[in-house]
Amino acid sequence: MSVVTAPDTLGTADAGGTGGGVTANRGRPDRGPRARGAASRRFLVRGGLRLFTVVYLAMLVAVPVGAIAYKAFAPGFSEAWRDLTNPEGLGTHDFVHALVLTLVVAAIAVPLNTVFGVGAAILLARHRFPGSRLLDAVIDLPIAISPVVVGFSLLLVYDNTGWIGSWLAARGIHIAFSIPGIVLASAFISIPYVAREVLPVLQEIGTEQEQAAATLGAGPLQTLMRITLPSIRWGVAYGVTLTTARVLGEFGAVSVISGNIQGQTETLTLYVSNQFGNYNLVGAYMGGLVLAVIALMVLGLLSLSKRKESRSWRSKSAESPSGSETLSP
Amino acid sequence: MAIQVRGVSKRFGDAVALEDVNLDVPTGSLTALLGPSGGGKSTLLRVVAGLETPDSGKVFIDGEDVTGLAPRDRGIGFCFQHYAPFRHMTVFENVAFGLKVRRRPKVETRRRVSELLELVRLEDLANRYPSQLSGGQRQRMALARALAVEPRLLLLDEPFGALDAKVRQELRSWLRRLHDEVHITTVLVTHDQEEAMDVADRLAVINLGRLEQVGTSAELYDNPVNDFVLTFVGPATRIAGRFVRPHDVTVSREPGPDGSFPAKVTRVTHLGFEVRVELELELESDDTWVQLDRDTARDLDLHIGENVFLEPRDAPGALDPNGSVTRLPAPDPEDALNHAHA
Repeated sequence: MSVVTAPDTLGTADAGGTGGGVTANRGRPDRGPRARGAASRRFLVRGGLRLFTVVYLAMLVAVPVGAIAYKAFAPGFSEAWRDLTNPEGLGTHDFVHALVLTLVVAAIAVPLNTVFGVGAAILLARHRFPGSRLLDAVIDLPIAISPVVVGFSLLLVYDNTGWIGSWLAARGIHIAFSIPGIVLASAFISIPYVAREVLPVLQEIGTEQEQAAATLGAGPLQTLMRITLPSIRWGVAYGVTLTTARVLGEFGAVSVISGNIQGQTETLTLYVSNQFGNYNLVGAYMGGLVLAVIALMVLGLLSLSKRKESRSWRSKSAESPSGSETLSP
Repeated sequence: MAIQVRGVSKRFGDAVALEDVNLDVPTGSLTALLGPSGGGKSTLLRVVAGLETPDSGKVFIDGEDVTGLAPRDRGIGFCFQHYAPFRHMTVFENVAFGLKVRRRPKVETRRRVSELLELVRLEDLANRYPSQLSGGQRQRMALARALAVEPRLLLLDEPFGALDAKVRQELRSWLRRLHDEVHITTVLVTHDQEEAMDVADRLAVINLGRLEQVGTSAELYDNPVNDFVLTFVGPATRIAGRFVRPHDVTVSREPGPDGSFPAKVTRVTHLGFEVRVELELELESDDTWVQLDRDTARDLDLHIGENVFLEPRDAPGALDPNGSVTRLPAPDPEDALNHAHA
């Protein structure tokens, strides 16, 4: 299938490269051989850069992801549809369960990390306290540690024989090999994203707007709700998107802590892996496709709301010409 | 007194921002805190607003000790140097903010905001966002926002600092008129002495965290308490180690009876009414300059390379009363304060 996709993509890249060269030259008078040499050098650099970017993304991302879609629908669309609705195929109890479980886990872990991330970012950006640098470092830890290790470390603590797990197990609460464990692992590995997106935004907007709100009579909560949160909304939105994508796609940590029990603690990524292991390739491709579609939907939602806001902003700015600066008494 | 600042000191780490500052601001006045950047004037304004807590000292507003109060309980309106507009709100929402968080009735809020937008001439731009406004418009929006909560005090931090010259001039006289209309006690911070003299009726000169002198612009110009005030407020020139106004120097071809300094003319510049003469003093071959009016310059008919004599005239208070040529003593904070309260 790559025979179909790849040359097509490369063709576009080539056209784009040429286009870039033309744009660079447009509207400029010819300044002799020297200028022409600079222009052609610019063309080469720009064209080369574009070609590299497109080929790199194609080989790493577009082609493999496209291949999943292609393979999933390889038997034909009607076949795939039958598979999707057939209780024997994708419509099996296991697949639906995995899908629901994945969504439930995301629905708990993402809001948790959103609240934590926003709180931690505000704490780090606005307050100086002992241990703030430690907090700053610990937030990044989940990126540094391999997810499998995260899974094992959680197992160590929350297993029925673990430090906290044994105490909880005595009270009838089981974390490991059940849904709370999966939520815990998903939350762990996706901790940094909201905080890391929001922190620079907070630092960039500074404290003046918050101080202005304070002089105008707003209390701390009013300032948070009316000034700070609206100011960081895009940072939060990006962070939530990344967190969601990360939680949906998590495999290693979840695989260890969940015990990977089919139809019980099997998330969608585990389902894909298990189907692949069982030589049910169509099932694996379909599962993978569903995962990709959900992730794309989240990304689409973000860019949609972003476009909507910028459009409403633009229409507001278009309606009035630049105002006069003159002040008559 | 609208504001009384008593013995306020503030440090940021090792840097002294304010040192034992005492200042009275009369009700209804327009006072400028004037001084070089980093001198502590903004810090003083922020201490009055409650945005900074002084290390020691007290602040009274209308006789009430507000030192421990939060900014929102002080009855102030504060305009930030870069206006601090709420970027996600329209002009209307910005101005309405203070009333909204105080939960005033909607009808009242609408009416008051409309009034204020008319006052600052932004009524046609009520639905715009701050990013769609020019600098001057943002400044006026910030003023309207600060005035919306009917503050006892209006505090402005470098209100015209970020504007171009023409807009600055317009806003300056507009603010003056606004103050005459609204009569709200106003304190503004500026590093521009001309701006301070133009807008304010009282000036407080602050340098290195200390209040040097308080008075009208005429008082500061004619009776500066020390070299710093003399050189900072209005033009100053240096003749044999002492500062004088460049127009308080007599230029003649004959040596004067006492204390005149021989010098050579190095440049004569005609600037309309003013004629600027640059000279090299024989003593220590120091460069200096004096300001002559057109008629005096015509009578003298100075040429480059000519030898003349300079005699600083005794402007009231500008010079050491003994007429000696020694430098004035270093500014003494106590002295400055005595002057400030005189």
